[in-house]
Amino acid sequence: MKLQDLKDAVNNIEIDDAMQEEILENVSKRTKGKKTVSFKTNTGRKNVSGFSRIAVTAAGVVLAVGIIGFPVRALVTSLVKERMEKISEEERHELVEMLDSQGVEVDGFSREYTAEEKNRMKELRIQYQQGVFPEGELPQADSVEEAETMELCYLTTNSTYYLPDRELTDEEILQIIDFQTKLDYSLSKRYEEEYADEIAAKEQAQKELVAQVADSGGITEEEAVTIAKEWLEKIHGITGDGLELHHRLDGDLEDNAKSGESTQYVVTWSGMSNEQHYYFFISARDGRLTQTIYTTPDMVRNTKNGIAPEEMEAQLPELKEKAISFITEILDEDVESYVESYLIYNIYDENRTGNSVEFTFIKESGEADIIYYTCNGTFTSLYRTSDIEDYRKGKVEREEFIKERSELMGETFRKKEIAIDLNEL
Amino acid sequence: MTVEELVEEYSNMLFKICLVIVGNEWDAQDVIQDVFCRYIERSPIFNDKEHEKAWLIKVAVNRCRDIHRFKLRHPQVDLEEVSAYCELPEQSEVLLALMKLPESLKSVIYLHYIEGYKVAELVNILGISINAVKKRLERGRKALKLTLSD
Repeated sequence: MKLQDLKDAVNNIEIDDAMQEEILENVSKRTKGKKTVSFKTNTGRKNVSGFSRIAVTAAGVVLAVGIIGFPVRALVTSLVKERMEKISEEERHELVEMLDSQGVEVDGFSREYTAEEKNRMKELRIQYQQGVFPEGELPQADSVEEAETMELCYLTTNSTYYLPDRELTDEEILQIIDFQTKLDYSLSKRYEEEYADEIAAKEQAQKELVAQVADSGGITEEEAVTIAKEWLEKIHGITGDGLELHHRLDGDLEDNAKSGESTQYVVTWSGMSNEQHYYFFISARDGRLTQTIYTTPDMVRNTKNGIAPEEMEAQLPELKEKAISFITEILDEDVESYVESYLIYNIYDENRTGNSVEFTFIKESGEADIIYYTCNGTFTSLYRTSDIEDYRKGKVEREEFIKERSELMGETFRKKEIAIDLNEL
Repeated sequence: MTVEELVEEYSNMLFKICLVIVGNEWDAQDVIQDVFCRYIERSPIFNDKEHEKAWLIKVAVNRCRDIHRFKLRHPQVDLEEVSAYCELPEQSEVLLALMKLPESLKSVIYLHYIEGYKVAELVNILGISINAVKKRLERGRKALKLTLSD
């Protein structure tokens, strides 16, 4: 596809007059009496808004992890943050000016990383988060001629890493990691400086949401963390000690004013050394656990790499018992209160299943608990819904989208979905 | 700027972006309305037109992302609907391919190649790392088999 073709195709999209008029009418109604906007004067302020919210869908590890996507900054440890805060304002501005002037889309490399270097880089990124920092800094060159005289350097003019002909040392890999972290940090600080008012507005909106939740009799963030901690212990048998804790209220003032259903606290414990993450979604309205997800890098990598179909069939009775135990012992529910229960797993080809099994337990009211296990019996997620049909509809839509995307990306979508009534197992 | 001027100046630009990201006219319209309402309610003051445009795009992209996630709805891209926007049949295929990309890729592809934002600018608009921007550009180009020369 040529870039010009893409541009031409997009350029043909035009909003029609009727929609434009409708937008005008609706906006005018909603903002009746509000003042209009203007450009900055010499003494003016900048004020922008619009932050993304992070939420998680219900359906299992792949989608959940793909969509959670916490910003990089959220998972930076306090040790790295402390290190970054020591960078001088001058250095930050220089780095940002360098990036602005580059105009390149990809980083260049004088050679590819070797397999060994890639493995070590992965390990060292984890260690970096734990406070293992380089002794020196990645050398920089301002011209190709200069770069070619150096064994290892970063060419500032076009974002190219000149790597030595030998294997990189750990120190050199750490220098590269440190440099890239500094670039991201410097850009994020610029953003904070340029959009200070925006950030303040977001914080104000968050305060208002917190107040709104409190006024409507909801729970506090502290209470949500306590509740999540109880679930962490109950489900995983750990206290969270030694893990990085993050928590936030996730919601929208307008949505919350209407029903508050989607307003929830997101509480996360993360192990930087092993990249294990424990997510808990607690309803701000009543403190109920609505969803929990446990992820590891292996789970994400191996979602389509399960076991042989005959091995899966052999595992199912044991997995069923685990799921039932979860219902009775963890959720304190009477398994007889569910009128329908079944499991689902995917087949990708003759030789392998997907890596997870979905257990669904449905009550007469339509409430349901959906639990996922990996094929070797590790709990990965729980989703509690008040309306199974709503969940199913969302799942169908999500899967259709994933199927189309898989085809476009040349990836395998499942070949077959196997569903089994638990009473028949 | 009056509301009328705002809608006249920016609704088409925002409609293109939103339609590509959310994949249907109704959600695109919802997003545009939300963006304009926020613009008027917050009364931001801008350095210049480019700043104003970048602000609107950022809010729109974030709102599109919210729709994706909170309504647990994913775009049902209808070829017939897409065709309505295209002069030539082959353009429908191009547009459909773009719209079918994962949201994370098409935002980056659109904003970089269509709107012309630099990589460093996309870091701030999308709230992701510079490496993530570059990787997503690469993946998006590969998925679309996009060649940059004519």
